[in-house]
Amino acid sequence: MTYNMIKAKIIDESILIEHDGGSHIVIHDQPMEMPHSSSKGTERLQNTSMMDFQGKISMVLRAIANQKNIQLPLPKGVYGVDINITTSRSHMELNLLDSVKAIVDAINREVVFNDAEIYSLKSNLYFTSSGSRKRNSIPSDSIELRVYDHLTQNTILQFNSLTTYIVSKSKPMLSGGFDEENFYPHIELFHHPVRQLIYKDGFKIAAANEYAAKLHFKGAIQSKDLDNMAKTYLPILYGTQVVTPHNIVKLELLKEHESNTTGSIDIRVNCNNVQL
Amino acid sequence: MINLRRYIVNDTKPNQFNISSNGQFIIQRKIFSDIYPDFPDPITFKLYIYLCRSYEWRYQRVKKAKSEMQQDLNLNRSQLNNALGWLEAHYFIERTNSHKQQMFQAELLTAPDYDPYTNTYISCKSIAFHTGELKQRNQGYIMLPADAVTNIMLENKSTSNRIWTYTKLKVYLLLYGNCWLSYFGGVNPDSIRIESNAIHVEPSFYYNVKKSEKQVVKTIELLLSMDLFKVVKVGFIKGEYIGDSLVIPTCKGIKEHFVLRPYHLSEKKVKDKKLDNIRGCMIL
Repeated sequence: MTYNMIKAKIIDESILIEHDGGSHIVIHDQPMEMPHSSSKGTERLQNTSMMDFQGKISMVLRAIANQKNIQLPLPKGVYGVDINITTSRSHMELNLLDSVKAIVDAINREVVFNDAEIYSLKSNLYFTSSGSRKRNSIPSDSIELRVYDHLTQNTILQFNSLTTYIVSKSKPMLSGGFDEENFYPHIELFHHPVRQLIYKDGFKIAAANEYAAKLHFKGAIQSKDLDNMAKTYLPILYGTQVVTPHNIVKLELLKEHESNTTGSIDIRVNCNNVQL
Repeated sequence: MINLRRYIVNDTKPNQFNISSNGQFIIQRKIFSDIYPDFPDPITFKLYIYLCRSYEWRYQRVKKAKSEMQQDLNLNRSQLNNALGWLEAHYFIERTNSHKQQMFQAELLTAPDYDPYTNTYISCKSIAFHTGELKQRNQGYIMLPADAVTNIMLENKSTSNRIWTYTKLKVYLLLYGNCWLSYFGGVNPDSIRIESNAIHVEPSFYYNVKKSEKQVVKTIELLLSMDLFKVVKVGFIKGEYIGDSLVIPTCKGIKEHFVLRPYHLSEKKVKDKKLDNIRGCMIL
């Protein structure tokens, strides 16, 4: 497989981008993450339903840890998290990254002291037939979660098929008129020039119903969150509207801390034809 | 189908709501959830709500003679003891009187965690029952004006039990849990969406009540008919609540929604500085 190389100048910085024309992109740069919004007098209200949902996940994990005599939060370390979600909702109603972000927020502080200690985050979204979906009194999303030691791969905490209703991550409501505060053009719009360059250079993702994406980040990123970095770079794939936040059903995020390198963001996307 | 028009606030006269100055109390959201079980019976549930309302923050205690509790809730001694015993055995409260002769005193504990796999309640005593700490630890709570929950709702009498069922009380409290005056002028319209003649409830809300959307809508209609909520037409600009439609001047870019506004509003919430720019445009 031959790779095309593009020298790009993005916001006064020259960056080398490589791609294989359809499924693999490597950006040679230090990975960026969306900054955590710092409040400057702006009132914010997190979606209460989402907070409730996170509270439930934290609770179940605390309860399981307590019975296994595991002290939480876990000691500072290098952890991995696997999340499998099954839902009868539609692709449009539930997307994987925002669901994963909500679940990781529930783990942050309560289970691992800082979510930057999560070095591997693998997730799958399975859709069950929604044919005659009844809106009764019991939710039908199901979550399987495993927290493990990334070095030894040993499971620390896990639960299977927790039935609940997932409320995915959404931006907080702001009052006081500072919409701008949540907006970081240099990061939020980073994907625009990259996207334009690679698509102009012939990068084209094959049409499919569902996709699997794998993002591997390398660089001085000890303190950066996987889900925030994913939020920054995944939009590169949304370029031609073939891949959307709603049809990524498998997401693998990995980070490696390397302090003295240029750093890289390695993005792979494939049709996910496992499901029928 | 009820006619919602009857409950819409249609004039701007003052004193249409009770601005309560009798203090506020908190109930943890976690007890209302699809994962967390219901209390074993309505008596225990109502007693717990009663204890939450009776909590004295200054002393971090509930100090109430059992005879007073019995009278307020119309319970006999063994009903009361049973319910208190259950709450204590499951880590909701902890007795703090040093000897039995002393008046009943209890500390409210942070509501226990629940493991749905082993059906076990796990004490959360190590998490201080304190609003700042609860927020830090993903333990949401609902803040209510004390006037909003009366003994009539909680007492064990046949009329009260018929009118104030477990479900109705849950829906009532959870509506407060979704009410943010400064952001929405009432209950979040994303949680409870009111159209000209229909109410829609978001799934996470009705799942937390453990009922269907239909059942929750019916309950909300009953609460409206009891005048515990009114329907107010409110205006938003760029997603931000700017005041009630009858009061604000019409201008470009306004989006209007109907919201539920509780009849009992806490004075502290109404006087909050967050509402300083809006209060003048609210029907209260």
